[in-house]
Amino acid sequence: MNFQVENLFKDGKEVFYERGSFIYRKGDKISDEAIFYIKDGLVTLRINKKNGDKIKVYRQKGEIFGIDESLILNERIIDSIAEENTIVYIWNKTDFFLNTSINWELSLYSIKSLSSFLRILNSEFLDQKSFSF
Amino acid sequence: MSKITEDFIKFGFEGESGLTAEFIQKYSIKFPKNKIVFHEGERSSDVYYILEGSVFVTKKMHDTYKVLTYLEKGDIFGEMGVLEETIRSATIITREDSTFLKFTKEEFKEILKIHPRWIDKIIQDMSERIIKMIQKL
Repeated sequence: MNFQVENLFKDGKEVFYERGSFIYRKGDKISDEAIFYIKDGLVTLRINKKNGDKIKVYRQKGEIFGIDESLILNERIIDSIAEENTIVYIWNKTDFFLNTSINWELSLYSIKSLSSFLRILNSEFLDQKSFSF
Repeated sequence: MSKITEDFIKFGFEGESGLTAEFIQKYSIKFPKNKIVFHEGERSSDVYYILEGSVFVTKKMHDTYKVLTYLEKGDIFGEMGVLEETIRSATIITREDSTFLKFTKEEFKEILKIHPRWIDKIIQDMSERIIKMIQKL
């Protein structure tokens, strides 16, 4: 957990999600309240593959989620579920992206969050093209 | 202020248009087509900016390298491992003859701090990569 980042997020709206409840679902419109910081608990980000399989990515206390979809898309393409009783701070995306421009700690934290997601996807996603040396 | 510091500030603010010939000479590195720039699992120490050409981002599977995506002129790679201070997550292979600007971790962090455009660009690029990958799954 990064206390400087948590302090920033405390300005956001605090919301409690009961274990098993959806924080958002695939297809939900992305409102301005789009970036989540986990104050306490555990969240599953669930990707539904075209073949019916599901990929689960876990986000725990002190982690951020929701950046990628809210920056690029108008609606969610994955499900977000409270795996345990969970408290999140929800942040307005305009404020969030204004702050990433001026706050080095938050920027680095956001990049690390995206990077860890990419590493997981890298291991799941393999195209047909390949090289041999 | 040293010439290099001035150049970093120009690059930070203006991007490629701010590059001087001396800066390019000092920081650029050329690779022919189908060459490995770095391997998955290596210690992360440098960040690359693609000046010319393009690269494949790959994962080694047995004796072959599976292509995850490719990056083009203006894209950055190697930043994940450097900013996270972890090992490389993928093997990078040139897709064609390519020229990169190569920065150390410290130099790259200086550039990021000079102008928010670089932070915005990295967050935007990573988000696009994530969304594209999810949409293909």
